[in-house]
Amino acid sequence: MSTTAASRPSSTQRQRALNQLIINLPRLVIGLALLIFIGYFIVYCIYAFALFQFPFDYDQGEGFELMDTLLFSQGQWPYRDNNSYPFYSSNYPPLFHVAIVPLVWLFGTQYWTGRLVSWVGTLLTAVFISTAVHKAGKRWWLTTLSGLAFLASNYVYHVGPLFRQHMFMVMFETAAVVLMAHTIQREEREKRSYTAYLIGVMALLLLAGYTKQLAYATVIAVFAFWLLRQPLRAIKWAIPFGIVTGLVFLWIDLSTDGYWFLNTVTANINPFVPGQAQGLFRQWFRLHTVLIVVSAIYAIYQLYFERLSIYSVWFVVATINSVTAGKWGAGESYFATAIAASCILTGLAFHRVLKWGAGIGERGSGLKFTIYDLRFTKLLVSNLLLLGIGILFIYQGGKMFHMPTHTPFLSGVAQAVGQPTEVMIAPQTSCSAPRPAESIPYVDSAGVSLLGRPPSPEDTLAGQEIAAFVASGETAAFSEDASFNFYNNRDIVTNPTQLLNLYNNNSVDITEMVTMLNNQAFDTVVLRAQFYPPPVLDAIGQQYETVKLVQMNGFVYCLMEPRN
Amino acid sequence: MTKRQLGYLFILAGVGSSLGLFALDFLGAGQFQGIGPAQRLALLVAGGVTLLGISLLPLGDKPA
Repeated sequence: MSTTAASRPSSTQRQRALNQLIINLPRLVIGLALLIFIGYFIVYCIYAFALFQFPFDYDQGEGFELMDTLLFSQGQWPYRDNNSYPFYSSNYPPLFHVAIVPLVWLFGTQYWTGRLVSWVGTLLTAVFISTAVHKAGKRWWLTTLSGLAFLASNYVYHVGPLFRQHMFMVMFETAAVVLMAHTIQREEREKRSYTAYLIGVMALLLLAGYTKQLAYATVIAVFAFWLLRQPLRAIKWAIPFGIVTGLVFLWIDLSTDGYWFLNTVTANINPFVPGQAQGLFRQWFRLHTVLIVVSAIYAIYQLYFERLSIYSVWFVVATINSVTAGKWGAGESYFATAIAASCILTGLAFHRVLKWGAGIGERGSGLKFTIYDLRFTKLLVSNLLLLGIGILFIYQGGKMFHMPTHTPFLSGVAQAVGQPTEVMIAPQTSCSAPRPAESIPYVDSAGVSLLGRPPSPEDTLAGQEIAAFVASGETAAFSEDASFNFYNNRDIVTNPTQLLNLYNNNSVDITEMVTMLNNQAFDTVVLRAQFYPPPVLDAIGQQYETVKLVQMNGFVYCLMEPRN
Repeated sequence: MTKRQLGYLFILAGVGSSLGLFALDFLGAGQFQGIGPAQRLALLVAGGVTLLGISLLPLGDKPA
């Protein structure tokens, strides 16, 4: 078939069409990347709101953090004597719980209070990440993607809306680092000092450290960066910072008769499991490949060709510190700081690349063109870079895939993107015969995960069933989860992992506890993972028998009564 | 601080930690005779840090 000259597009039309394609394709891809990460944010909201409504422990330590908050709300310290009834103490610094106290005063001992505060903390962290990226380049889409990438991380998703203090610490860490970067940059530009800002940085670091001990890595990163830029000044500031930190430590320790040190330091000396650390590092890399590789390349580039930024130093120190995820009782959340740093570095690196692309042909860019082809080359290169960045974000989005599939719409989305709509997972049990795998409406590229699936109405009914079992006795339950006693307004007895840690460090006397169990002083016992010291489990085994098994959130709970 | 000074700092850290690891052996710490697997990994990291430091030396007085 022949085409007439009139219907054939002219070379100008072809050029215009090509230009349109070059301009529009990257925007389309970036739009798709934004859509993916906004989708993850919606999924994050769905999970968070489901957790806010769930009145029992979802993650085992949540109830104990609620207990800490309750004690603070009554003007008491949670760092206590583990040797005598109710054998309870906290192993975490106070700030997160203190921040929730007003909500507990207003609404009572509700799980949603701490979950909401932690979740809002992650949103603020994303805002701080976006602020850091935006200051570098004012590209709204890159600003948005960098912040949303943090919230889309499987680890942040899993832990963000839990009543756990870790993400609240990351919020303070991120705020401190971003403020430090801003302050030093401003001081160097304006040749004057901003002491008030630096006091703000120190205050944020102190708040991070008194939210969770792990913030020491960010403290090291901030002072290491400062040593690179202003060594003497860094040392001068490190001394008062160390003194204030130490004085607060001493004040709490003296106020609690030494139980602060015992419960937050001694009880945190846990065995290191190399296989756990290796496995988590591999998983972290597999899930966050683009963020990690881009950050590492940019950090190396800065090391050799520019000045090291605080974000590069933070990323390296936080990554090294993530090795502590191999400690018994630690886990994926220990990577959250490194993830926050990588989101900022990735955003900054992409800004840098786009700036380079926009400067092609100009003095010092290293590339020379004739005036004739310069405009087209600049258009082509800058849009190819945009396209590449968009594709990398989409690829990163694919690596992080996680989605509850309990509604037809979400299930349809998972199916549409070629993911399974359910996974088969056997419930975890420590005190019953193994149970067959069952269908779980939650898919996660992290693999089999106990976190991330929104609790179902059946889970709430199961929790109520266990709470009713506890209510059938006269006493508080000797329970591995705190929620069932909370539900019945009874004492919170024991913090099992804390007891186990102290027992392994020969720092607890369990005589009274074992005597009470031997005397069947508790009408009910509820076990989930059997994280008590072995003599305590022995006493339970001898004096109590399982009368019922109830499954909640993928765990089999063993409900026990005294043997006759 | 300059790139060269940072390089020296890395070399010091790398060599220092290697010597420290051997000192641990000398003191009889650890459960393995000779160099254990964790020690070998730590020595590799220390070697890497030293090499990184050496590679920074030619960059001279550029700010770190």
